[in-house]
Amino acid sequence: MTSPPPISKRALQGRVARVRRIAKAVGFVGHVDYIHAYSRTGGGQYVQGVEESSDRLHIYAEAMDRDASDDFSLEAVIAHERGHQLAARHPSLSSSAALSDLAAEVVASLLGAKIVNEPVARGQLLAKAAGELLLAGVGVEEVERMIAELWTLFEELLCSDERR
Amino acid sequence: MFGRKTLSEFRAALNAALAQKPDAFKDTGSEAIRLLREFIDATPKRSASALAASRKPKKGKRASRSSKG
Repeated sequence: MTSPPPISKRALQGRVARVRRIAKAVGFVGHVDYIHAYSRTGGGQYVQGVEESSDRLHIYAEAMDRDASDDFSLEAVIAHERGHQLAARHPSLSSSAALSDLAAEVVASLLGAKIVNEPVARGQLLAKAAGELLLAGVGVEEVERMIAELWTLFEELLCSDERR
Repeated sequence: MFGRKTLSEFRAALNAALAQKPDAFKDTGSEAIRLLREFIDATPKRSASALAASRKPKKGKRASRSSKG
């Protein structure tokens, strides 16, 4: 795997600041790092710590490349990883049965779409959730039903948190 | 982990589903489905076959490379 082109210290600081600003906006709790290297993650990775405050969000250089091209925005990548954190940390979600990899990705994308304020990122994450299911061979009517039902469920869960 | 599948691959899957069922992702009364449909309608239509074709090496390019040697 190649390395990303080197960037100036100032550009690096700019990337770190942007990643942290977006992570804060979507409510990520824990350490947030920008790593100027390519990974095999697609650009973002949530690492669960012993407790929520020790969770980590790693954003890699390919997330910036994707953001700059006709692919997922940085907001979408970070909101998706925050979705993984919500799924792992929310009492109602983390206590449910272990999810398959596919289900975990769909849940993270829908939670990310729910919490992100940026409309393009929201649409991208809804497309990712539905697309993951379609590519896995789930029928379109079933995809519609699952997306609609999970969206309503997450709305109730997140709204009840806000009321507390 | 975000995963390496591109937005184009997901768009192609959605467009392929719409080609089979044009009334998919609309009029369900769900906010999520309405937002998804808005996203699909706002982005260029590329079918799975068009996406695959765009990834094939271009014959012209290959020919020009071999002519260099």
